[in-house]
Amino acid sequence: MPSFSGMDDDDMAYLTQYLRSLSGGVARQTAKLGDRLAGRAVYDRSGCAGCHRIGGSGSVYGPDLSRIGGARSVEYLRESLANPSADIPPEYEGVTVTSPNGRRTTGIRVNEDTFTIQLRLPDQRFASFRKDEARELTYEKKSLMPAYQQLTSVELNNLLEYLLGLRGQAAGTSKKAEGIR
Amino acid sequence: MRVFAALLLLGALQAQVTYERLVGAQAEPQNWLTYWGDYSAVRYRDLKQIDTANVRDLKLEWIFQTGEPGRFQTVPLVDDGVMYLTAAGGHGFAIDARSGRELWHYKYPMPANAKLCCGTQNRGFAMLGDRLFMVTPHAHIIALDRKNGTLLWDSEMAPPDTGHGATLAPLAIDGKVVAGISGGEFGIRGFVDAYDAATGKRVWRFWTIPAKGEPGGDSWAADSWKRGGGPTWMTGTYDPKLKLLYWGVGNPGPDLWGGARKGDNLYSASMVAVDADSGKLKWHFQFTPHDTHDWDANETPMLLDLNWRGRSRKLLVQANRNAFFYVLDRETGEFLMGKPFARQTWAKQLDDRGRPVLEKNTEPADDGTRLCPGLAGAANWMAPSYNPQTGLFYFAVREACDVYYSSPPLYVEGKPFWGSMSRGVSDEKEWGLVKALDPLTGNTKWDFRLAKAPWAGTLTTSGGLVFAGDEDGYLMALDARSGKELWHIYTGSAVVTAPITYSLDGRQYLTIPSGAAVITFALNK
Repeated sequence: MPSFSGMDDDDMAYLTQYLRSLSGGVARQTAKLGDRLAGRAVYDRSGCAGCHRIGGSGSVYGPDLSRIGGARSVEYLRESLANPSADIPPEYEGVTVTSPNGRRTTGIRVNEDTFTIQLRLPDQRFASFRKDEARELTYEKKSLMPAYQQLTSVELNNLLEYLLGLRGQAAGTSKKAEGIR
Repeated sequence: MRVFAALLLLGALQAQVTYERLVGAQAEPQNWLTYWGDYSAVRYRDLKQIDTANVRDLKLEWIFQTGEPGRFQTVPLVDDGVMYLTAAGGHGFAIDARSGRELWHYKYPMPANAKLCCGTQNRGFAMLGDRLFMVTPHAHIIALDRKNGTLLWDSEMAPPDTGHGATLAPLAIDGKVVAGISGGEFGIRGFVDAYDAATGKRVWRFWTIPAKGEPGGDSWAADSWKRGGGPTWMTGTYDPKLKLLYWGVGNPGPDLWGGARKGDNLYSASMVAVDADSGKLKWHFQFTPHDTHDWDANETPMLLDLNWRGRSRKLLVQANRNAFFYVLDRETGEFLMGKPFARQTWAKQLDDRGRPVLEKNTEPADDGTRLCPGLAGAANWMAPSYNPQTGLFYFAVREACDVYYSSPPLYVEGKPFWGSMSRGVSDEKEWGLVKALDPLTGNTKWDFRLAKAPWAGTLTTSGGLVFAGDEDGYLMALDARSGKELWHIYTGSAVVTAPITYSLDGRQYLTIPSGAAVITFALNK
């Protein structure tokens, strides 16, 4: 990325304000919410690693959480746990492909073009389909992530405390290395 | 011996691409002699070895890799078994059209510190006599020897570091090479130039923005005309009988802030007809008066001779970036018809003279104004085509809306002069179409939907086919009558130019530049 040191102060302030408005807010402006270690236990117990990954551990099906504490606000994370469909990043939109024999395959859309679509399945494999051979394509309105409304407020706060503390490196140093887009 | 000498002479004569051959380019379907294929830009070829029945059997014939970074926007030329093409950054190549093997490679010595307004892409050569002509990213026009790629002359179109650039394929006419300029986002004053093909000396210049006191100069407030934009960054077309050049003119400057340039801002967002001998304006038609959405009118000005409402007329048709399809009389500039071909939310209608009647609240604003089409337009530089067998006009449509912002910019020579910005809407994704439209009615005959808004042009043939490309990298063949998809192949990179076809040794070839490669297909022998 080139340096923008030549930009005047007003423009820099406007740009910064604009970029911040896109991020959903940056974390750690709140007091401590709970117990981080207990939050880690909630993460493990709830099966989050079945879809997510932290520091190379877990699944590539859902978003990598290794740096989630530096990227999202507590409000955003709280809503994402209670209502994952509130904001679905475009790269994690779900699609269900129905084959001519009625078999339904649901996954995260990795790529879609005029003639084909490729999905990432929950078991981390890829599936590829020709559109003209599919009976139906259904674009899921809801997130493929389940809502975690069953958590107690203590469990939720512990989990949030754990997530807000995640500011490390993702597993790979490039998108290719991570196998994600 | 005399016979041998005569044959040699004949060979030398045939190798010349004369002006007469350019005028009659449609009669040489085996070649592709100009950027558009001929002067009218119909991009139709009477070649039918590849047809609706066998297009599915197309096979890869060869791939030529330029070895240069960047996505091709070039359209190759073909003559006498040799293909000539440009690549980004001032590269030119001659390759064997049968095998794809390189015959020569030219690289313009770009100054290391050149400040480029408009990127390094290039859209192709023009050809006349034994010469090729191309522009450079820093707004020079040059001539090369077609036989070996030797530089013959080099003329500066505009001074460096002033926001000027050049990307288009020049247009060669009788003894002259005509070219336009880029830099509409940098506060330039646009022009169309003609250069002597032999010497490179400028013959005339037509300023697209009239000065104060000139006809049209009163359409600019104060001295705003001096930075009025009006770039001419796409190749025009030519009627050799009328001796008129037709050139699309781009946005007024600054793009999104119209507060300091009250008035219609002629001849921005217009079509101009310019006398090829004198460079004088014959007529103009402005599609988008006082444009504030960067809706350049640089899209292809296709020339058709059709029966219009009972009488034969010389027409100019254009699918404009502002989402309307226009039909003009190209002898007079008279507006004959205008109809929307894509979603548009800015004009209630066009009046009897083709002037838009605006909807309310369409101006870019501090807090953003949502409008369709988006800044890139419903059409853009993607080449359309017209097939006389079907009477249909085939073109790529971009379906996208934007939020437009505006604020007064400060002019600094050589710096961007946008007057704020636009962004895509967040509640829907863009998509695209290959559309077949009846130019006599403006009605759609068929649409073929593309997953993303395209940047690729079309080609149509007497084999009943339309070839098109898409942003995902597919080259495809559609049935020209029905729009049914008959064949496609993934080229590995977004297709951002238009295919060509040619014939050699009794075989028809189909060529598409994609990524940094030229890919050619044919049926098996």
